[in-house]
Amino acid sequence: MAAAAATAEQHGVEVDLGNLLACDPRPLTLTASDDVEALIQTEMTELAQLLLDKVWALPLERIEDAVVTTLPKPTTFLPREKPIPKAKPMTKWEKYAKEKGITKTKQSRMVWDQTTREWKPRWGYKKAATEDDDWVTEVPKDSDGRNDPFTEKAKAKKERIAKNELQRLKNVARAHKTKIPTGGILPHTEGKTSSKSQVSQAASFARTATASVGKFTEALPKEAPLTKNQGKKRKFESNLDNFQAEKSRLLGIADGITSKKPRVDEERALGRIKQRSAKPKKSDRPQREDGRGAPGGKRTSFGGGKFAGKGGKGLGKPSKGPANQKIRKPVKSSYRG
Amino acid sequence: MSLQHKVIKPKSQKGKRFIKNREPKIFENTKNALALRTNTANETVVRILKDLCALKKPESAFMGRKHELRPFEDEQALEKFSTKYDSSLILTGSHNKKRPSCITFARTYDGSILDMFEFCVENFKGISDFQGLSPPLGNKPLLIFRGESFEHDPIMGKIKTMFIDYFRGPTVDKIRPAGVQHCITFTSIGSTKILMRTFMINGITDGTEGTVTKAALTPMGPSMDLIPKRSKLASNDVWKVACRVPKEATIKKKKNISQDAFGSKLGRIHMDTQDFSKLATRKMKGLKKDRKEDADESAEEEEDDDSGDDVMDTLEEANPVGEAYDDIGGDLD
Repeated sequence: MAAAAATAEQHGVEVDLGNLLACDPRPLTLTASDDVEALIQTEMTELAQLLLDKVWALPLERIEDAVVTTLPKPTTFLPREKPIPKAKPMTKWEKYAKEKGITKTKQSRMVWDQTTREWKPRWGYKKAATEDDDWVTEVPKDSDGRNDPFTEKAKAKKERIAKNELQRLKNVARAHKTKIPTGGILPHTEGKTSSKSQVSQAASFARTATASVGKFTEALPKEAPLTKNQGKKRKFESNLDNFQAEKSRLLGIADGITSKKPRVDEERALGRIKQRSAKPKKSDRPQREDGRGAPGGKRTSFGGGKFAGKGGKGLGKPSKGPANQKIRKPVKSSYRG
Repeated sequence: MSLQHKVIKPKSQKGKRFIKNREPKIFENTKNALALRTNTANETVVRILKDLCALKKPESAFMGRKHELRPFEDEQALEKFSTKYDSSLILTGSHNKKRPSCITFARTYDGSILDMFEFCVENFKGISDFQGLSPPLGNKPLLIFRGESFEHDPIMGKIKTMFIDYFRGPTVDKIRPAGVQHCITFTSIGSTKILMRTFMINGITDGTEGTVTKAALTPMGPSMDLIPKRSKLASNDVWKVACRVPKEATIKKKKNISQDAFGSKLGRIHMDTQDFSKLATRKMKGLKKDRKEDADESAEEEEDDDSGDDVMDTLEEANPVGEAYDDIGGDLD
């Protein structure tokens, strides 16, 4: 047995105990008279024996009733399932706190309840009384009596929550280097006046928020005309003049159809490159074993703006290669196993 | 976590944990496998898929619906399954005239297909063909590769890593050597055929120490001959990125820490050279300098030199603490 192990090692059998793996580079020589199954079995028995001997040679330890051994780290490099996790981007507050050297301190779980005069948990079951729990509240002196302080308090809380949510979304957007679409009106927080730009933005939104999209809204005195947040208007060419432009446009279409050059939609191609560079590179697609491209469908329609960028012009055989498939929208269907 | 899950927060703690579990990790979980039958798969192909699934249980699932899948023509469908079920290993099976009993091993990295290998299966014998022998659940098998093409042929080399990835079982730090029960072997015949054989290990123990002295192998299912057909390899740079090991996962060797025979921890400490000028010496009244003496000293210094106090001179040269010694000398005088 020891002799077999020695010969195996001579022939360069590689063992990766972390994966319980043995790789024997010797080819299996077969002759016509051999029983393949029996031959494989005897050869594999030898290699399995080699592996098992190595496993038993590892330091053993006893855990409860089982004799176990610790396997070494695997030496075979295998691809990961998912990319290496990136560090979480800091929120605006975290960045600010770091700059200022503000560190988080842990809040105590118990707080002193003034009314019952005892220590109570900050939250949860039997928590200390807070302002929110008050069943009676004073009406402020300057109140006109029309506003209910309870509803005002509830409203203020709602606004605070909305503000927090907006800040959270802004942090997410900042981390992804995008902007969040605004509705123009930001949550109003007490004691904080909105900036001039915020107010004017809100006003412009309010002006156009009518059934006629602000067409009949009367402008206030000294109010600047609306410029931002206007929808795009359709533009039509006139039916009578400018024949030259129409002619050149039509000629351009005809050229596109008849020319043999592949047409490249630059904007789309750039977008695709950007998308790829963001993801792990897939630019050099792997070669097929048989050296053939993927079979393509039969072409049924030509040119036209609708199909621009879908297949190369004059490429001989239009291929439905993976590059095209990448951009195709996934078919909406529910997969169920 | 995708952007969608960041914008729309999970509503329950369970949902939050579920999403977190699917995020990239430094120490990854065992890869999950998904076996998908296609609409052309016949009974044999389904059996092959089910048996291959059984070898990887519980990290595998068999999906029995007839999906129209053509892995080499449309990768997107596979990628969709992969992300939906969080399984980076995918097996599909189909059967047609051109490629009878055809199975495809695919694996994904970051939700997109990394590589794929297609095989036609011949001489298939399933688990049920060997009575009373079935692969133990969640057991780590021995993996044996035999043949030179696994080392030299680049495609066969990648096929080997695929098989290791699929069949190696759960990643564990500790195993019970006596519990190693089965063995999956691959023998290559040139680059045209791979003989996959599975064996049960019947160890003959010598009783005293519980170690296996002689292993005997009994053939069991599944066993099949795999004929490589089409393949799709990952490009070099994608492969490199996928094989990267995170810094946190590599354990750095701690320097200057050792253990002696009794298991106690020993450390070696390196010190900087000591600065004697900052040495805290014993304070005595006599050693105290006062302003008057300081002024006298400067005047006396010349006289001292003349008196030829050899010992003090040498000390002064030898170390920077000379001044202190000088004081002593002055007092003694």
